This record gives sequence, C-alpha cells and structure tokens, in this order.
Amino acid sequence: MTGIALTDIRKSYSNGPQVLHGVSMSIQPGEFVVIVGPSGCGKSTLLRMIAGLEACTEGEIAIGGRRVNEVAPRDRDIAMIFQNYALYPHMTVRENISFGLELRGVKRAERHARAEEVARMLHLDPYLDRKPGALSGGQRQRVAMGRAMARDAGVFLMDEPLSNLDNALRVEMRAEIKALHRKVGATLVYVTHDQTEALSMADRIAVMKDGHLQQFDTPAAIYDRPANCFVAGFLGQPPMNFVLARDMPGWTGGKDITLGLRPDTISVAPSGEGLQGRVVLSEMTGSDLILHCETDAGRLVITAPRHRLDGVGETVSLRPNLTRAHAFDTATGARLDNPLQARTAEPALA
Amino acid sequence: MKPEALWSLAALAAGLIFLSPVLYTIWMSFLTVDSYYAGTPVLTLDNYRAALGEFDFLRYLLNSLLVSGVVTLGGLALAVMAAFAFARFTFPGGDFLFAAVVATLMIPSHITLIPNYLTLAKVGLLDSYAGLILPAISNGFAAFFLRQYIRGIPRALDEAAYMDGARPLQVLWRVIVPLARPAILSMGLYIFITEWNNYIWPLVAISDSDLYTLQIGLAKLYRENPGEDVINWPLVMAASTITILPILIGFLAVERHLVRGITMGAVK
Amino acid sequence: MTSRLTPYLLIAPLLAFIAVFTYIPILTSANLSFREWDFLTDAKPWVGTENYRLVLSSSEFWNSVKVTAIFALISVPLRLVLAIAIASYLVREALPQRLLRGALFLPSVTSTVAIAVVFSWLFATDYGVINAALAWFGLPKVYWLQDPQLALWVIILVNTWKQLGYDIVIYIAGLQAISPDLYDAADVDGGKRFHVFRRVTVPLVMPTTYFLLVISVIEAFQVFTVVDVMTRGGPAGATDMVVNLLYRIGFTLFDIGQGSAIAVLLFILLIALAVFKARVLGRKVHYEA
Repeated sequence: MTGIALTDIRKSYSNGPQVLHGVSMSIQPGEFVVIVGPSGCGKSTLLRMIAGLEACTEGEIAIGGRRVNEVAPRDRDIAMIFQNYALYPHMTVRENISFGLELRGVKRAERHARAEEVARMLHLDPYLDRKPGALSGGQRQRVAMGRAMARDAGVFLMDEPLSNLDNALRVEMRAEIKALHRKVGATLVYVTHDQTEALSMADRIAVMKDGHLQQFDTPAAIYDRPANCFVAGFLGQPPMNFVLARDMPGWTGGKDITLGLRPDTISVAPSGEGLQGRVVLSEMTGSDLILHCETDAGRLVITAPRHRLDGVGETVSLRPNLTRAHAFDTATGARLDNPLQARTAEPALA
Repeated sequence: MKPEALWSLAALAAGLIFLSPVLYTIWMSFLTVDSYYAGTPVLTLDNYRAALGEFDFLRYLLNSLLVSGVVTLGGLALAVMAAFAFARFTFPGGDFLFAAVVATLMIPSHITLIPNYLTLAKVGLLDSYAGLILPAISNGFAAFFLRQYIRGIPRALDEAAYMDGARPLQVLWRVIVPLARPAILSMGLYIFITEWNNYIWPLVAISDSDLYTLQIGLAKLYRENPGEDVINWPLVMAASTITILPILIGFLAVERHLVRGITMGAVK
Repeated sequence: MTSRLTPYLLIAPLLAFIAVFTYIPILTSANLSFREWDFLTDAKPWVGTENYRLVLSSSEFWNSVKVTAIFALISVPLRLVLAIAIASYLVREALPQRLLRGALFLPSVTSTVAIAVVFSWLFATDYGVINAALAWFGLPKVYWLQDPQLALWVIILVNTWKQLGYDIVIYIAGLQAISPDLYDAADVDGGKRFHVFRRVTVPLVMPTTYFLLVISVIEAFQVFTVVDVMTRGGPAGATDMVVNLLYRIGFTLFDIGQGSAIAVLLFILLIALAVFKARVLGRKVHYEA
C-alpha cells in the first residue's frame, strides 16, 4: 500500500494563468480521498500531475515515500480511470484489460488469466471478446475499472469516472467503487465536481477552489465544521443559507458575522413568531419539500416535511435554530466559533 | 424499368463514353497489328507477350512496383512518426518545424530537379534504385494530413496507454497507428499512385534501361516507334495497358479510400 | 514525463529528407544560377547575373512563359467551371452519381504518360481516330499535333480530361460539407435551380474553389509530362512550357547555370502568385462555419 505526499504543488502554464497555488496534502496508504470543487478549480490538473501526465512547476510529489516528479507515468505504480474511460476502441475487452500487463512483459497465458479473473470480479466475463463499441455505458465503465485493477497498482486515480452515466447507474457504481476499494485496498484518489459522490464515498475529502486547497478532512468534519463559507456552501444539498447575523431576530453577537444555516435547521410553521417568509417556490423531493422563501433576511431555502404543506404565495413563519448555525467572518469567509453554541452546552432542538 | 435504374444506365453510358479512350486502348492491345490496320479485328495476346518479353516491360513493371512500394512504406513511416510528434508533443521549435514541413506543399518540385540530380551524382546514386527512391521519400502532404487526423483521436487514449506503461513509440504503434489506419491507408494509396506515375524524376535520374520504370519504358517505346513503316499501335497499347492496369485494379478495389485520401484536408 | 528528445527523434528522419531534397536544393539552385557550369568540367566560375541576363533576353524563355501562361489561363478556369457544374449534379450519394463520379475520377489517378500516348494516337494525323471520324464525314484530315495553332489546344484538352475528375471529387466533398438545409431553404424560397447554384452553391464552395485554384495554378506552371510525350514542346515552340525548357537546357544542353536561373525565376513567379492569391482572394474566402 502506497501513500502520497504532495508538498506545495504549484502549476502555471507558460503565458497562461497559474492554476495551482501551493497545494499540500498527505494521503495515507489505502485511503479513499475525493478531491472535489467547481470546474476550473485545478482538481483535474492536480490528479494529472500525480499521474505524471502533467509536469509540476514547483513543489514535490512523493508516492510511497519516493519523489516522482521526474518519473515517467509507467514507473509510478499508479493506474488511472479516465472521464470518458479512454478504452482502446480497436482492442477487445480482454486486450484492453491486459494491455498494461502486456506492456510490462507479462506472459500471454498469465495476463489472460488475470484479465479473466478481473472480468469475473466485475461481471464482465461474458463480454471479454467484445470491443468497447459494443458495450453499454456501465459496462465500459467496468472495463475501465478492470483495466486499472488488472495491474495491481498501489494507487488508483479516477477522474470524474461517473460523469457520463445516468443517475441510477451512478448510484449503483458509487457503491461498487466503494466496495471495490475495500476489496483491493489500494490508495484511491478520486476527482469529481459532484458533492454527493464526495460525501458518500470518501474517507477524506479535499475541497478545492481557484487552485487553493480549502479543507482536507473527513466527510463528517467537512459537513459539520466547514472551514469557510465556500466549503460550507459547496457541500450539502440543498446548499446552506447565508444570512448576515444582525438581520436575525434575537441576535446579540458581533456585527460582521455571517451565519450559515443548513436548510434542515430552520423549522417552519404556518404562522407564529419568528421570521415571516413568503413561499416563492416549492419543490417536492419525495418525503420532503424544499421551500424557497423571501424574508427580511433574504431568500432562505428550507426543507420541510410534506404534511406541513404550504402553497406558493402563502406566508409562513420561519424559526432558525441559531445554536446549530455556523458562523463565518463576513469579510474573509473564515469559520468562527458560534457564540450561541458556546453559551449553551447542548444544542437546542428546533 | 424504374427511373433510378434508367439513370444508372445513362450514367454508366456517359462514364463509358468519357473513358472510351482508355477502353479502346485496352481493346486495341488485343489486336494483331495487321488486323488493326486492316480494320478486321483478330484477337491475340502476342502484344503482351512482346511487351513483357522482348520489350522488357516485365522488368519495368517490377521496377515500378519496387520503387513505388518502398517509397510508400518509407514515406508513410516518416510521415506517421512526424505527424505523431506534431500532433501530440509541444516542444521548442515545434511550430516552426511544422511550418517548414507544410511549406513543402507549396514549393514547386522543379526547383529541386537540378540540385537533386547533382547531389545523387556526387554520391554515385544516379542509375540506382536508391536514386529513384530517396528524393521521393519525404512527403510533407502525408505528414500534414496524418497530423490532422491524429489530432482527432482523443488524447486520453494516449494517456491511458502511458498509464498502462507504454513508451512513446509503443503508444504510436499500438494505439495511434491502428486508430489512424483509414487515414494511413488513404495516404499510402496516394503516395503509391503519385510515385507510380512519376515521370520527370526517373527521366532525369535513370539512363540504364535495366532500371526504367513503366513510365519511362512506355515513353521510350512510343518514341522509338517499334514497327516497320507504321507505328505498332497495338503493341504500344499493350504497354500502356500494362502501365495503367495495376492502378486501375487498385482503383476499382479501393476507390473510396482513394477519394477520401485525396479529398482529406482539401475541405475543412 | 517522456524524454524531451522524443519529439525531435520522431521528426528527425522526415526533416532530414526534407532538408536534403527540398530546402538545401533551393539554396543550391540559387547559388548555381550565378555560375557558369556544364556539369562536365570542375570549374564553376561565378558569373554574377549573366545567366539571368541571357535567360531574360532569350525569346525561347519568353515564349515558354507565354505558352505556359496561356495554358494556365485557359485550362484552370475551364477545369474549375466544368468541375463545379458537374459536381453539383453528382453530389448525391446514389448509384448513378457514384458510377459517373468513378468514371470521371479514374483518369486523374492514371499514368500521365499512358494518357499522353493514348491521346497521341487519338490525334494522330494518319490512322488517328479523330481524323478517321472526320474522314467518315468527308472532312479533310487535320494536323492536330503538327499545327502550331492547334497543338496547345490538344494539350489543354488532354490535361482537362485527365484532371477534371480530381476537381470534381474535391468539389463534391466541398458541396457535401455544405448543410443541406441551405438547399432546402432555397427550395422553399422558390429559387430556380441555376439561381440557387449561382447564389448559394458557388459562394459557399468558395474555400474549395480557392484551394483548387492555388494547387491547379501551381500545377499548370509545372506541366511537363503531357508535353514531353506528345509534342516535346513543338511544333515551333507552340507547346513549349517553362519546365520543358528547363529540362532541355539543364539535361540535354547541360547548361546548369541557365537551367538554375530558369528554375529560380519560375520559383519566384509561383511564390509571387501564391502571395498575390492570398492577398486578393484570401479575403473573400471566409464562409467556414
């Protein structure tokens, strides 16, 4: 098992902008790390630099304790799964899976045996002699995984591997990748822009924005204690509401604090005390409703159980649970301790 | 008959009229010379026997096959490697060097005629197969269009191969070449035909009749006028047919590839 | 990362051949054009612009320029007009069109020498098919390739017959790249066929026309084989193209200096034409979507 250490990685293109501004990360052997961020944040570039497909401008990449900046991709002990799978269209599934072994001089019988073994694990054995063009999206995805697995690499890199699948398949493959990681035990670095994938699969999540690492922690820690406004707003669905603290009824704290309220920490009643809000949009998700309400503190998005159904245009009363709010410095966006949380030992329930 | 079939017949007829000089050439090549001049057709294979034997066209045919074949394989090899480099690598001077390759498309070949003759004379390669082959091997056109084609192949495939453990030449040979096969085939046909029909360079570089290509052999045969007092047209036509036939057969077999090779890049 | 040397190693063989057989020869030609040399002696004295003076004051040279220019001015527009007209009828992917396309295309890949030989027979004064046909109508025989008034026209005809199919195929590819919607739109407007051709087809295939113009003019100024086989520049220089003159001076008279001077002059002329076309026509060619 192989760990990865990134030290102050920077990347800039000649006569182009700088895309990575000093990223440092220590990935443990066997860990499942998801790098997440909006497009253009540099996450794919970072992954490609680990792979060796792009050069580092500055900084050091070490894999398994060995500096690999100057090492060719083939000698880095890594396997990679590409966004569009990048299966060789002129080769059969068997050849696709065993090509890496062939290049490494593994004998024909041995590599075919290995291909068959991997194919069985991925339920691909009926398709071994087909070409990728004759496979469905999900099957292609599996072949891409098989190709990476065949080689027993210490590190797996995945670049948005599920983005071309439909929703049902994506959910299924999420579970499968997770199970596979457990079975194979290799270190896995997974890039996505989809926060659900990050939260559901990762041991640790690295959130990136504009070439900076924002936070690198477990899904629970990132969800419960986001390091800044960006992280707080990026993870969680529907996204967190941000309001200026002074607009909140009953607020007595400092003036330049922004409060982050997750939609499920605001309770809603047909009428009563609290913020008065007018429902402007109501989306049903199944068991819950997502209500968009205009209030004096700005637009708030809340989730509410369906039985408290409120129609668009109605006025409702909103009661944010401020003890469960996140507090951020309005100017810098950095996380602050919630003064209300500090006062009450136990967070009050709404 | 359906109008479609009628149109097909009309088109076929128009095409045959257009090609009638070629078709009549082939017909004539089977006539005895006496019957040709008498106007009463008598069929024979003697013209081919004479052309291939006595007049050495078998040798010319083999020379043409050898020269065009080697030029095609060599030209493709050089063009494919360069096209891969220009399509997939960024390197200092790359744009300039690519421009230098593309510029050869616009450089008229006549300007190289005398200097190439002198170069080959200096190294003693006039009147040799090498002398026929070497100046024809570099093909900027093929390099240019193969580069365009390779750029259309997703780069992720190269990257996947690098991750699988390939070196650049393995990526080229195992991934790019198989995927660019239609383009390579088309370019190969293009190079082969161009070289097969090449006239001015063999004319300049070869004086030893053992090394004549079909084009030179045919021009000489026509000019030297084999025949007593009148031209032996049937013999000349048999030689012409031998010169045309390999391309004609290839044409019927692979017209599509050929057309693609020739139109590739002419239209964006 | 792969070695920095890799791309250079990949292009080295091609570039070596191009350097030795294309670029260095241009410099050699330029150098030799200022020298007097018959190829047999060792001495190659520098004679300055003497070769150019001789060439530019020889009527032979100006005759070949005139003949080549007439050839280009007639055969290039003739080919392009015929090709675009025929191509617009053959653009459909149906059997009749494909058959005719194949027939028209065949000569362009066929040996020029063989075609020249065949047409020499067609136009032969005695026993030629054309004259035989004329005789059948009771007309006197024509000295096609021996009459200075006619020989160049025969050369133009042969060249057009051979090259037309290539132009047609390129035009068809260009036409197929045009969205069929445009034709449909024109149909809805009630456009007449020729009107659509003139107002829609012709402007939209302008890039193709430009491409063909560039290469066919260069080709026209380098025409050699047909003339060498059929007339050797005769009769009385009526079909003497620049390259035929170049070949004669360089390789039968072995006047390397004057031959090189002609090569350099033709080279400069073609470069000038290319620049001129890029300037004047290039601007009109921007229909790419």
